[in-house]
Amino acid sequence: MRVSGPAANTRQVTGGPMQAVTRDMAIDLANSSPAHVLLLDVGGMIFDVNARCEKLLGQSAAELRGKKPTHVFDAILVRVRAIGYERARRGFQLQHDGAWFEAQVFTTEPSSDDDDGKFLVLRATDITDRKSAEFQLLESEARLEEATRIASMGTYKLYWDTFKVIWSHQMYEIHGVAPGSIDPSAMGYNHLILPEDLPIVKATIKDLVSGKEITGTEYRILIEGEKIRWVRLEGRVLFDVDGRPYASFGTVQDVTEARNREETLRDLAARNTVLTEALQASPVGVAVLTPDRPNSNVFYVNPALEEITGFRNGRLIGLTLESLRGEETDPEIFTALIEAIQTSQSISCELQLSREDGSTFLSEVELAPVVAPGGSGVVAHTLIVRDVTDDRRRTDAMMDAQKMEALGKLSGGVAHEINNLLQPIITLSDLGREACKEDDEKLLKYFDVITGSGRKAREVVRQILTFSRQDAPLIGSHKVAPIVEDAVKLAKSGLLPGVELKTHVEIDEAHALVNPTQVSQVVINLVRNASDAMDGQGAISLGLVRLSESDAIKVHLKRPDRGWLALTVSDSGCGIDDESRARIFEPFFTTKPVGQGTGLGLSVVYSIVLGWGGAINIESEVDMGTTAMVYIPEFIE
Amino acid sequence: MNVLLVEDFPEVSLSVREILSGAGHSVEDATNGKEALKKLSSSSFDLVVSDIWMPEMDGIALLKEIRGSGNDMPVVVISGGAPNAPLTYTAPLAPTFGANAVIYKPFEKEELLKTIDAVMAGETIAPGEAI
Repeated sequence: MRVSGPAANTRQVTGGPMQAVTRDMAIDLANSSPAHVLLLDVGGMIFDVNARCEKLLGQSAAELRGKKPTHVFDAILVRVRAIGYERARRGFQLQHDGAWFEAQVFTTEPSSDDDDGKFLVLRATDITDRKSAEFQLLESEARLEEATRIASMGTYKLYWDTFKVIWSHQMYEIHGVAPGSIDPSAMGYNHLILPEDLPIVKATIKDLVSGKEITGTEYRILIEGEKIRWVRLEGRVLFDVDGRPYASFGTVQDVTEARNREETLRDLAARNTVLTEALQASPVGVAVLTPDRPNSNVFYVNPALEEITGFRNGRLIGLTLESLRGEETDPEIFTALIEAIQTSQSISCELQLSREDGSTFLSEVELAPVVAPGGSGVVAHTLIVRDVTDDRRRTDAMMDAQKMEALGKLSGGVAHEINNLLQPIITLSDLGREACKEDDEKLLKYFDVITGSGRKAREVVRQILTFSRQDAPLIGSHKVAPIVEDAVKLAKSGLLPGVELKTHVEIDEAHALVNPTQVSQVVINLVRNASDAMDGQGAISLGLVRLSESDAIKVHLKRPDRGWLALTVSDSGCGIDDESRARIFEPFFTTKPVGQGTGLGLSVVYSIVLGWGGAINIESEVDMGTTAMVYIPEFIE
Repeated sequence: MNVLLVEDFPEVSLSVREILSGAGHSVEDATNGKEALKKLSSSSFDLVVSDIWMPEMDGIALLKEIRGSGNDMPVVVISGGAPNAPLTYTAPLAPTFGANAVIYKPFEKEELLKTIDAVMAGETIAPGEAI
């Protein structure tokens, strides 16, 4: 821009926003300005432009003089008309042709009387780049806002110099307060934090402002004074252009749900452990089978089942049910079990199973399919096995005893009749034998048989009558020793001459809740059995002692700590083999030769002892002898 | 010895009669307590052997009558019950009413004779007690 006229006439620019600018000043400014500057005369025509402007408009000042302003300047004029000169003087931004400009418009004042007058100065600076950066910043801020909103995350900024804290909208929401309702500066949010957690938060903020990076501090805030929400605080340091830290910036995220999920998971894990432990501790045998068809096999087995089946130390794992099948296993029931697995049915049944060592046991088996939640089919089968061998024996004995009792009741009157009918059979055959000739062997034999038969019939009737209890046998607290001694006297009278009965009654004072007659029955039955086993020659020893707790434990008595009395009857007779020993308490089971013994004796003893709450055990060795041990609970007043 | 046998079951009556007569006693029979009382009042007996369960008047009632009138003659009760069913039958009660012995059918010849001997010698035997 060429200057003409004395520069001395320029008025000095004084401070203040409303300074008057002369034409010369304007020209000076224009020359030194990095902006595009254009001067308009009062007619609205271009008077002068600066070099920058020449470049922008592509024409020289001389060529542009007297023309109407175009390009961004035209747009500026349009805007000025809209916003007014006052506003335009302060500067404004506008877009033109894809670029952003910052514009300023002011008028000049005449500097002297001969000054031509007013010019309109149009200044335009291309701020496209700056604008783009601004835009991007705005956009990224908006994106951040949206992201944090979605993540239930609030952002904060803490200025170190002023300790002013700025909260995002989301931050207020997380804390359950209306935006702007509290001043987050100077810990104005203290009351929102759970008092117990306040120390942690304060310590964290201290770390923040001393330049540390904070991750994962979790604490609780109070929503509306009562609801607790878990939040997670993160923060880092912001540095200015010179690399100096000046603020902390970070996020606070609502993690209540995540924490709940964690707790639930921990709960589930704990429950899982408890459930597993329960299974491991259960006295009932449990196994879980795979859903494979056809070879469903064991993938979990609990200790109880390993004990029951003898497949210890995980040896059952991977095996199918086939490994539990034995010779005694009912094939039909076993097939039904297998089919139940194939067809994913539930089934419960009783059958003989075989252990690893080949021994068999009676089991109660329950099988059920396990369906995955969501119904996506069978994922496993549960197998529950109980060894009920002993139970069955006891129930069977009890059932038999009950049957006998019913029989006894029925036969009360019948027994009476039969007793009467037996009298002539026994007596008249006895007398007939006496009356017939000594050499009449046939007749003698006939009479012998009749008498013998009659006597046996008498025994059967008497045994049956034992079960006929129209009133319950009177049980009372009795001193056991005297009753046993009396019974021994009775028993002795029935013994064959070659049989000796030695007694060892230790305890005089012990009481038990029993019926004395029943005690006699037990003693007499056991002694009779002992005597029969010895075939007329030998010694029976009978003992009555009090058991020590350790002895009681040794013989597997329940509640070994309570007092137990033991009545033992031993003989040196023929003994009982294992097979017979298993059936020894069965009514009508007898090891005696046909015609001797009714087989009712021990079943009577068994049911009596059961009624006392006691136990009975038979130990025997073939050709060596037998010991019967009856355990009676002591009654201590 | 004169024995009064009170028993309604004919086969039992026959059997007991055979045992007693075989041992040298003379036997008269009655089939119930009422008959027995009649016979007791008209003849003299050394011993009564009586069943319990009889029609018209049972053995316990008979016993009550006998003892009630101050008669302490020996009475042996024969019962159709059993020694091991104490509460089913009234036999065990017999001694309380004055019976000297109770034995259970079907008894051996020896048991009856031994019991009678003991009772005649003045003993009282409880039911189920071995001789």
